[in-house]
Amino acid sequence: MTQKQLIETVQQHHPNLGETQIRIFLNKALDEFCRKTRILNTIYTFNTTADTRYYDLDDSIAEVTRVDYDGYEIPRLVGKPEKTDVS
Amino acid sequence: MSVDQRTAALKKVYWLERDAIGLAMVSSTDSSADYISVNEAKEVTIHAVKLDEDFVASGTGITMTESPAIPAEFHDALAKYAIAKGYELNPQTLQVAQYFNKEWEMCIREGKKYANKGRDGSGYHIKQYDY
Repeated sequence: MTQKQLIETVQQHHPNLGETQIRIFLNKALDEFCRKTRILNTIYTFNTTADTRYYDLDDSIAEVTRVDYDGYEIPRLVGKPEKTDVS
Repeated sequence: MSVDQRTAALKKVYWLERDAIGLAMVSSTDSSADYISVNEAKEVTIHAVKLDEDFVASGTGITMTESPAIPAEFHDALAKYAIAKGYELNPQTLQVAQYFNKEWEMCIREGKKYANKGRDGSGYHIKQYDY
């Protein structure tokens, strides 16, 4: 269904609700559905830079399930390194 | 890929912090730290569960004539959520809201089953995740 069709379906029940309000509800529903069902999966690729420890995650990532470094799966560290480095 | 490349890669670890991914390697030369920053340029692949784009009136996102990326059979679930929220605005229609909320929860359960089922029709299984 397109966004227009979804809005029309909602307006059959709530003819006085505006498109903006319905769009807020639909966006909340879509986020909650994706988070709870984990239905959409994807991969992101980037290259490391020497002496850089942190790399920003894309806003659309809900959960990281696996990380590969140079083609090999690497383990998730429990906790954080002892020595802080915020670079 | 060589054995050395494999050995080097497997000395790396990651963790998540402040909306970023931290990458480090086991320290073998610096005795003052257990992990040190990676000192080379290598490709990192993040496998992730992602959120869909937002519905928008115009611009970047799901426009009026576009559909969300979730499977088509779950599109009406989004409408059910919005219908329930609409009924919740009026105290006299809370019971109707409950009905649509129940429908919404049912769609979530079906969505979880769909996400965990192999496309070859193989059985439903529960995936384990780190928290």
